[in-house]
Amino acid sequence: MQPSLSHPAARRTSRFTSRFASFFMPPALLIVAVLVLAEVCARAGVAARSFPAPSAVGIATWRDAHALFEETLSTLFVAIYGFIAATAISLTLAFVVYAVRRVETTVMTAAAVLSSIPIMAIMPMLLIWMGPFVSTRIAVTCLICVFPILVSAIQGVQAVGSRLDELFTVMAARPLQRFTRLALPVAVPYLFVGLRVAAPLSILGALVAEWSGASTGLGVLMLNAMFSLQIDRLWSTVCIACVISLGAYGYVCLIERLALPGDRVIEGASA
Amino acid sequence: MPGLSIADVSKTFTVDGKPFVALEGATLNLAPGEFGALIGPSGCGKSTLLRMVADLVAPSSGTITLDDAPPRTARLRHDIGFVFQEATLLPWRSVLDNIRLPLEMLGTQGKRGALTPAELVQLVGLNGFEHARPSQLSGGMQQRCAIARALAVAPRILLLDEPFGALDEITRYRMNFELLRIWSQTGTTALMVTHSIDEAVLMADRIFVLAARPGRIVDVVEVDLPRPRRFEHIETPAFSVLTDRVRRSLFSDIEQRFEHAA
Repeated sequence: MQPSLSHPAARRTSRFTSRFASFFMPPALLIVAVLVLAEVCARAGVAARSFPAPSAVGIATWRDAHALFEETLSTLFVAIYGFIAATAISLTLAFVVYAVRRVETTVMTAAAVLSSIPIMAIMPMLLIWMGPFVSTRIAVTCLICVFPILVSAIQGVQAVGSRLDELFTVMAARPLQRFTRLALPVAVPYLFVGLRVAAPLSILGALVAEWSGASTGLGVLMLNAMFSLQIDRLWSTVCIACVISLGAYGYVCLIERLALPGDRVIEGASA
Repeated sequence: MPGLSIADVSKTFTVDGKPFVALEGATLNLAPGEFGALIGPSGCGKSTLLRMVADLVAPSSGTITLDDAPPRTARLRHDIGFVFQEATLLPWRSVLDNIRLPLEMLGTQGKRGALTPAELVQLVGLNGFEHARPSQLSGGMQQRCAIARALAVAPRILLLDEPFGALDEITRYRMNFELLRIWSQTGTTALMVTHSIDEAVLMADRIFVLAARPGRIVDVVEVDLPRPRRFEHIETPAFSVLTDRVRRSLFSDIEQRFEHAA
């Protein structure tokens, strides 16, 4: 049964739909317009050969769907484990910095130096040390993700007010109790800022890692398509990479919305 | 000796490279179950003294003992309850979970609170708000929650740093009587910092009057009003005599200054 429009719930729904529409319609229309333009240009032969018609990319994606799906799963596997490893390392280091404040500069300097090294420059070294295995790819992904997460985690644990700190001192809290019951809950909104930045980076990290001698993954398909000049296939891998990057970002945002009350979410990606 | 004993305690801070005497030669004793009040102008070191008892600040000289143990031992034994001026609750926890917090710090063995968190909720009159978030409570209710939390581990001493300083006067009187009732039911020793002469006389067995620059105890006023204290006591001559005495002690240094000038 359709509720009448005067019903509060119905009004709320319609307001929600209209806000949803005004939020998503303009970009959606823009994307559709660009796709149509590209299609027209490609069919009219105006565009270069390296610029395939969207429909051709769509057909290539459909044709390779099975392989694309398999390889994307492999990439996602590396991205997710790299992301989790980076989060675990960041929280451990944030705990160390929180428990022993003197080491903050040391940790941050080391992290900054590590993050300024171009990943392509240390990849050969990592390959020699760790071998051409999945673990190496996870390590590369982790390395790319760790800096923004670490910065936000440390910023978060330092946001604990001095009164609450004293309260935990009076209660004779041990360092780990203090961290899990005070610093971590205070840090969570900050942490999510870093996680939002790191989510698309994890996909980037996994793809880049696959370019150095991996046998599976979306990045491998990408390279193969490039070297064999299969432009349609190259484009479909790129499109999928974009989609899963966006998806990773959206997923972290969704978790954040579910985990935190609205007023604790820190807007904007400052990290 | 049992109870709180502070003997010749001084505290010197360094401010801009120069030593600043926050407190000089403070000596006071509280027997178990007694209620003490520290009153004095800003900068007289009364909060510093309270924080030294709680082992948040170390004294520069002198000794503090709680039941013959230094403050650190007492703190690690969970013998100290502290109530700050702001309620200082964890905003992501419910009232009940905030009250439960100190119990989570106790090991698997060792002491347990005399009252359960649910009983404490009753004691401070927050029944029905167990699952509310601190942000949903009024200032007075938040402070009740903070008091309940401080009592959760049945501390031997309850330290209160201007606990009702942020409340309006009506709520404040109400909370004064509430705290007296709670204190008499738990039998703990209490030491409270306050800015209010009325509050000090109404609540305490003994009032320590402090002066500033350097911070020191200038007078000790024994309050011999009967317990339980009632609202009518405020209107008695005995109450006025006591408040006058405290006021005179608070402003004694000003009189002296006038006399010297004359």
